[in-house]
Amino acid sequence: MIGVARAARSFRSAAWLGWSVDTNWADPVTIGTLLVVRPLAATMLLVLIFEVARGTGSADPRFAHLYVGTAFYTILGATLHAISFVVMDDRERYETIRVVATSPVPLAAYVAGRGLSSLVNSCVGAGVILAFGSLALGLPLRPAGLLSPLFLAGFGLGVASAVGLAIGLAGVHLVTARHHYLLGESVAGVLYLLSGAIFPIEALPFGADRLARLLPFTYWLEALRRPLVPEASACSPTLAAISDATLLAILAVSSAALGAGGLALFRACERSARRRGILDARTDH
Amino acid sequence: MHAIETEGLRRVFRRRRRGLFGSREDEGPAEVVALEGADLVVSEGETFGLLGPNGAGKTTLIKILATLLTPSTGRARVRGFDVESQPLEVRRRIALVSGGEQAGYGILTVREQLWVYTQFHGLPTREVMPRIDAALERFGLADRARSKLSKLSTGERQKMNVIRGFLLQPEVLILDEPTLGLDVSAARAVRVAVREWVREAPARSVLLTTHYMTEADELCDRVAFIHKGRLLACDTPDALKRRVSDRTTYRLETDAAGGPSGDGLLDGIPGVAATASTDPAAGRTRYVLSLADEGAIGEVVSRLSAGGVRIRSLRSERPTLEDVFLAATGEGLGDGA
Amino acid sequence: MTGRPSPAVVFARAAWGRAYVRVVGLNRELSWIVGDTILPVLGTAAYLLAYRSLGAPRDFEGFVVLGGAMTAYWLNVLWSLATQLYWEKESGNLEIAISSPCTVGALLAGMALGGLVSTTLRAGTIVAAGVLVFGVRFDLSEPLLAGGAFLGTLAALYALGAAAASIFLVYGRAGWQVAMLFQEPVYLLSGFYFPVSRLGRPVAMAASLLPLTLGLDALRQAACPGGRAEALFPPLAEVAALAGLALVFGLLARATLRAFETRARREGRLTLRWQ
Repeated sequence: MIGVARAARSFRSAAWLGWSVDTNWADPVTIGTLLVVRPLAATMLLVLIFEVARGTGSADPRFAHLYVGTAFYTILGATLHAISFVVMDDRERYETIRVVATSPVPLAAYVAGRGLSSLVNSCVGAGVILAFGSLALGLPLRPAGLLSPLFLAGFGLGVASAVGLAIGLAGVHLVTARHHYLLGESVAGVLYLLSGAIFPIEALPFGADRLARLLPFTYWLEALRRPLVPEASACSPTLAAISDATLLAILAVSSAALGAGGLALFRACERSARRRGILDARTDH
Repeated sequence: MHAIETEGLRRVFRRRRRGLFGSREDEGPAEVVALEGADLVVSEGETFGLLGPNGAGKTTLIKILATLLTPSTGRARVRGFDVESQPLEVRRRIALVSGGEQAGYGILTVREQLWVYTQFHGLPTREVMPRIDAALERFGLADRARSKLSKLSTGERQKMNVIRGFLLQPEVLILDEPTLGLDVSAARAVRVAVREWVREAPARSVLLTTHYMTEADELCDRVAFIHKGRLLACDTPDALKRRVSDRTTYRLETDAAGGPSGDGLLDGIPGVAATASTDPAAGRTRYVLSLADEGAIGEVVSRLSAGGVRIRSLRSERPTLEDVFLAATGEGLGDGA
Repeated sequence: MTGRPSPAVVFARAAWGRAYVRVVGLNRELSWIVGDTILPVLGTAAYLLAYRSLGAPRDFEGFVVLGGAMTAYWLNVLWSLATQLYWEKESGNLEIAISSPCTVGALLAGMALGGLVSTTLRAGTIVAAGVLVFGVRFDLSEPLLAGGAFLGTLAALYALGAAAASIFLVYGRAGWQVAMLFQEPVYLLSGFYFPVSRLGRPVAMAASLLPLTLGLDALRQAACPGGRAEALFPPLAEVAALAGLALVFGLLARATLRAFETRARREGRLTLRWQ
């Protein structure tokens, strides 16, 4: 119990620190602008691709499939980058990781807390993208879907698995040099391709759709699309054939596996870094 | 021509209230005076020491001379070139080495990194490579020449920084705490190298800041104290120490047991004031001698020897530069502002 | 002691010294093979497969692959040139470089040269993967035009990056965040993954101030089937405009680097870390 309380305190303090680091350079209006512009620009890029390729407008279920997938993928991308990058930031830039590592707080809880601010920001960004799609582009969004058990449970499980994976990547950063700082973004890029964010997984070549079916994020995006834009779900026959309950069950199991795996990887890397004496090493290039 | 010359140099740091796109900046006092009317002349061929506690203004002065910062008012010239209006000419003639410096590209080897630095000065590769190898040998880093920077210890890294200063063959070498992080033998090697480097060419000069008083005493022709942005005393180390006391103190210990004591033997020696205390348990008599002229110590020893007194120990006590700083400011060098 | 080298010699040697750091890094840190080739190919593949799954004409696949290849240069300029002075300042390298006789421009030229090597490998891999793995077709009917457009784009883009880099002489993290703000909007405005003419003529013309907008449009006209049909301007006019942009951005970079260095020295920000 003491360990859990300590981890919770560490998480809370680190979350406050992360928010301070992310926001102390600008006023709230500027932060808000930046929070919205990046994801909105990325989404508009996809909207234009859709219009160029298909030109069928927002009533087309494929538009909703692509749009909603892109909106929620931004959370995955931001979480993987932000949490994994904490190690680089605190080790190479602020040189504070040695202070955390020599304190009794669990390092994994600290790392997750420190990245929480970016996760929350990305959720706000996703909300803005969806609102923009609904109000400006005519996306047939069902707001009631936001309160459906499938959406709420699916959202929570997906975010948990993203955090688990990000913690694992943060662990890898503990034993690698600074020039690997794009690891989070790189893994996010692979997941962008494989998890059916912008096209149905059936479109993946060379049998890669089998890989897609192993990823919790494939089911996560489906669990979010289905209550919000039910017709978009039909774009992927493979996923459409899965019932809500089964979808949640698969998501729960795969998220638990990824979360546990990420934590185990972090702990193994932390042990290795401590053993090799590189936990607070500056790599300088 | 002077190596360095400053006139009424003043630097004020003003806090910015707004950053890029109106972002908030730190709260704090509106302005901080880091340097207040500094007048300084370092001559050609001179090794000049700048001593002061943390926050005294040493680094600010050095940054101005290295063209990294402009003065708020006043002027500074290096080899006759104005640091504000002729920075490129100044940069051609200086090398700045700071203690604890972590600069460099971790992916490069020590040898490569030193070569990259010489390229920033436009030096030809065929000339600098033998010099790099010789310098690495001299500072005991030859076996690390092909090690990546990221693998160096703090001391090895600092040795590399010092080597960089010499390699660039500047006319004015600015050393900011150059022996920070070095062990005793490495620090000694740096001091020897600085001395020899200055002697090699008459136009070379060194501006040194250090916390180590013995280092300043050993290396510097003149030193200046800086405190709260103001330059205080400036003179040769010996002259500064004489300002604290014009008399020399000696402590002398004689064997009081089983022989004659020194009572009365030292009376009447011109310029010598002696106080004695006897410790019967230890069988010793201890004298504190205050000499107006240091040469009188010979007469003291002669009289005691002639009186059959056995001298156990004799040592002089001179004021240190830290004593001088204490007398000038009322604060020790460690009392950072 | 030898005579003092001329400013031109100092510039050339300093640029080569700084470029060496990047080139040697390519050999010593083989992780770039994953980070700079495999992952960007996967990213481009995502857009290519999106077009394919939406049933778009095959001509657009060439557009995507060229966009992906030029993305490599945009990211290199943004993160390894425009913002690199931030890291140089944080690590203390900027202090050493500024107090030496080389100019900041020489350092940036070195970073650009060194970065071009790895980035060209990355861009080449994307094109090769597009052709060999995904069967994308190109029609290089006007190689001179393509070469001119490519070189013009790079010259204007890297000059723009040097001008942006000057901000980091004064600002720290605030500048970094602004750079982050530009990444995706430039993808959109320069038409990385779709013909820029589809933005509508007024928006596309305004976006033409970004070198990649005209560069990509000219490259697609020179190398992609269907490129002419989606063109914004005639390709020769675009190449001439790129040359003009390179000159303007080059002069701008020179002026801003001088102005910001003077300001940074005045405000004491050249050596200020963690700002």
